[in-house]
Amino acid sequence: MAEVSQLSQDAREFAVRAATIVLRENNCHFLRVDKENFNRILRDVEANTVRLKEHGKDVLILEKITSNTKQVFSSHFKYTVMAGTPQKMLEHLLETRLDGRGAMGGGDNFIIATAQDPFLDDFLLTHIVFLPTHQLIEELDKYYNIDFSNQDKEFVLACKRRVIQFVYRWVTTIRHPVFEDDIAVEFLEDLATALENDIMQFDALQEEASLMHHVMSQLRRYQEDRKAHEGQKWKLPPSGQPISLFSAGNDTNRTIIMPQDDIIFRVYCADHTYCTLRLPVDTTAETIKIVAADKLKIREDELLLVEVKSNGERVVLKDNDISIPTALSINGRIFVSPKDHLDALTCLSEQEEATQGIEGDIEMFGTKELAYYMTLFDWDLFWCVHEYELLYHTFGRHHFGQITANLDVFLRRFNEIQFWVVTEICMIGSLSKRVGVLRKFIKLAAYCREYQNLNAFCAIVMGLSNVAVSRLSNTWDKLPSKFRKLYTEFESMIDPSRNHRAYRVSVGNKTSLDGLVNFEKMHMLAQTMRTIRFCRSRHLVLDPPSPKSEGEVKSYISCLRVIDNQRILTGMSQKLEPRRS
Amino acid sequence: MPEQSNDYRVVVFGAGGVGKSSLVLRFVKGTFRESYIPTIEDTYRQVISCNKNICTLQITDTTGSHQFPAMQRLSISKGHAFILVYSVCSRQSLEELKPIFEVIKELKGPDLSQIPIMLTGNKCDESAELREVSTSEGQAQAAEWGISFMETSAKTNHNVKQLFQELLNLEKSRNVSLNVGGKTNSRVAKDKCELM
Repeated sequence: MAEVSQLSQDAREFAVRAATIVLRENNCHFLRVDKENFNRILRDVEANTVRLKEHGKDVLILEKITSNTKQVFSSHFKYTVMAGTPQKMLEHLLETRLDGRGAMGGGDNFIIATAQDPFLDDFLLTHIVFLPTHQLIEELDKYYNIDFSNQDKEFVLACKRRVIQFVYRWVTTIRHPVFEDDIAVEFLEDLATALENDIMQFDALQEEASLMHHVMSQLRRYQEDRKAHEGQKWKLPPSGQPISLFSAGNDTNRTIIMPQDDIIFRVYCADHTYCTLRLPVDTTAETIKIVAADKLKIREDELLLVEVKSNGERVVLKDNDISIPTALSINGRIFVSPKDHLDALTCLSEQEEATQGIEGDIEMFGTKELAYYMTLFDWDLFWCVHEYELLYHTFGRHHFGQITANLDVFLRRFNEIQFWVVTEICMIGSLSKRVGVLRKFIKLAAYCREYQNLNAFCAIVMGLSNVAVSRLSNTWDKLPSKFRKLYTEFESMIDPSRNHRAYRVSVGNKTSLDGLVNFEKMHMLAQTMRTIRFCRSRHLVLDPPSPKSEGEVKSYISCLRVIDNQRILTGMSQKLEPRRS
Repeated sequence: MPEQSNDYRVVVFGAGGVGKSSLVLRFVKGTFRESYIPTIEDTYRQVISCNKNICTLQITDTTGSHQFPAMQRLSISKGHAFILVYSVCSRQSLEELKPIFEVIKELKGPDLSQIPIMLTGNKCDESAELREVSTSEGQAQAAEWGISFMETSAKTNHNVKQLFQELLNLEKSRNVSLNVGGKTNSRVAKDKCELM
C-alpha cells in the first residue's frame, strides 16, 4: 500500500509538478539565459511543433517527441498532442492510435503501451472535462456510420474498427461511470447491433466482434450487480459520526456510494428545530432547500441552504451543488434559512462538543492492532473512490452533475483522524496519562507507516503538530527522547511546501486557450488518476497482529470521538497547561 | 448532552399512517393535508409558559416504522411527556403501541407514574363502519396502563389543542401551560425545569 500515501497526498492536491528547475546555488531565484540561447530555445520549440490549421485557425498542435528525453519506454510515435479542439483530438486519436487494419494489441500490453504513449489513456480519463460523454458518443457514432457511398471499403472498415477498439478501451478504462450513463448504454446497445449487421454485410470485423462481446458482457454483469445493490440507504448520523450504510445485516465496508442511493440527514432551522430527509445522494442543494422548507413550513421567497460549522462559520451552498450531506465538515450541520436571517444561524449545542464516538479507551487497545484495523478501514474507503471523482472535485461537481460522495467520505476520514488525535490528548487531565497517550499516538503513526498507510500516518502527525498539542511543553518534555526524535523525523516527512501544489497546477494552467483544449494539463491530471488506478488495482496484504480485541478495536476505529473546532481545542489545551507568564 | 433547561420535550409515537404528523402540524401550524408523507424524525417548537416564565415546547414527531430503534430510545430518554397515537380505524395500530409503551416503562422506571402520557385515538371523524376500536376500548387500554385518554381528529381539528393542553396539565413537577400571557415576563426567576 505504499502508493496509498502518494495517493492521499495527490488526492487532496491533485497535483503533478509541471516543471522542476534545479538551481545552481541555493537561494538563487533567477535563472539567467542569454538572449541568444533564449531565441535558440524558442526556435527549437517552434521547429518541433506542428500546427494543423482549418480555415486559418489552429485546430491541433502537436509536438515532436525529442529523442533525448529520458524515458523508460521509448515511443514509436513521433508526435504528442499539446492542444487541440476536442473533435480534432478525437479524430487524431482514432487515426493514429487505433489500428484500422484489424490488429489490436491485447489488453495485457496496455500498461506498457500507456507508458510509451499515454495519449489514448489521457484522453479516456479526462475527456469529460472538454468533451462530455454525450458529445463523445455523437462523434463516435458519426465516425462509425461514415457515409461509404463514395468511399473505399477498406477505409470504411478501418473507421468501424477504430470506433470499436476505442469503445473497448473506454469501457475497460472507465468502467462503471460509462455503464451508469443511460445515453452511453443506449449507444453501446446500438453499436453492438450495428456491428452485427456490418459483420454480415462486409464479412469482416470478427476481431472487433469479440471486443464488443466483451464490452457487452461487462455491461450485463454490471447491470446485474447494480440490481442486487439497488436502493442502498446511507445515513449521516445526527451527532457528527461518519456516514454509514443504513441497512441491517450489511457488514461489508467496501460499498460504493451510488448517485441514486438514498441518504438520510437532518436539516435545521434557526430555532434548531429540524426535519429529517431521505433523498438521493445526487439531490441538488436547491431541491433539499425546497423539500426542507416545505416540511418545516417556512414560507419565504428567498431561502438559503447553509452549512454551519462547529466554529460557527456559515457556508452558503450553491443551488446547483450536489452531494451536499457527504461533503459536510466533520461536525457541520445543514441549515435552511431566509436570506435576510443568515446572521441568526448559530451552532447547535451538540456541535460545541465532541462528536459521539464508539465507547472505548484508546489505552485499552494494542497500538499495532489499532494501526492494522485503521489501515484496513481506510483501504476500503479508498477502494471506493473512482478516478473521476477527483476530476469532479477539482473542476466542481456541479459542472458534471456527478457526486463525489466516496471521495468526500475518504477526505472526511483524514480530518476525523487528525482531529481525533488532538481531541484525545486535550481531553486528558493528568499529565502522566497525557504523556502515555502522546507516546501511543507516535507509536501509532510509526505502525501506520510500517503498514504503508500514509493517509493515517499524515493525519496523525498533522494532529500531533496541531498547536493545541504542540504547545503542551510539559507533556513533550516528559516524553522519552527516543519518541521525541521519532516524532521530529515524522514531522520532517510531511513537507508543507508540497501543500496546494496541485491546486496551483490546476488553477495555474488554463483548461482551454483560444478554443483549444490544453491537453498538457489533461496529461498532468491523468497522471494522478493513473496513480490512483494503479493503487486500487493492488491487493492489500498485511499480516494481522495477534488478535486480542478485534471486535472492539474494529468498531472503535470506525467512529472516533472528535472536536473539530480549533478554538475549543486550543482553549482546552490552555486549561491543561496554562501559558507561563 | 447538556440539559436545555428551557425546553419541555414532548415525543409523539405511533404506527405508520395514524396521523402523528397531522396532529402535530394541526397543533403547531394549524394546517392539515390529505397526502401522506412518511416521517423519519422532525421537531417543532412552540412558546409556552412554565412556572410563569416563557419556555419552549419542543415536539418530536417520530417515524411509524421500526427502522430506527436507537433513535426511539434516545427520544424516550430525553422526553418529558409522551403522546401515543393510534387510529380508531385500525386495531393493529393500537396493538403496535404496546411494545412502545413497554420501552417507555423500561427506560423511565419508577418515575413512570409522574410522567404525562396520553393515549390518543385519532381519526375519530371517520364513519362508524370504518371504526375498529371503540371509545371504551381505548379508555380501557389507557386505564390498564395508568395513563390518560382522548379521541381526536386532526382533519376536523377536534380536540387537538385540548390534547396538548391536557398533556401539559398532567405535568405536576412544574406549572406548564399553553397560554403565554399575563405577567410572564415579570421576573427572571429560575424555575425547576432541569429536573422532573
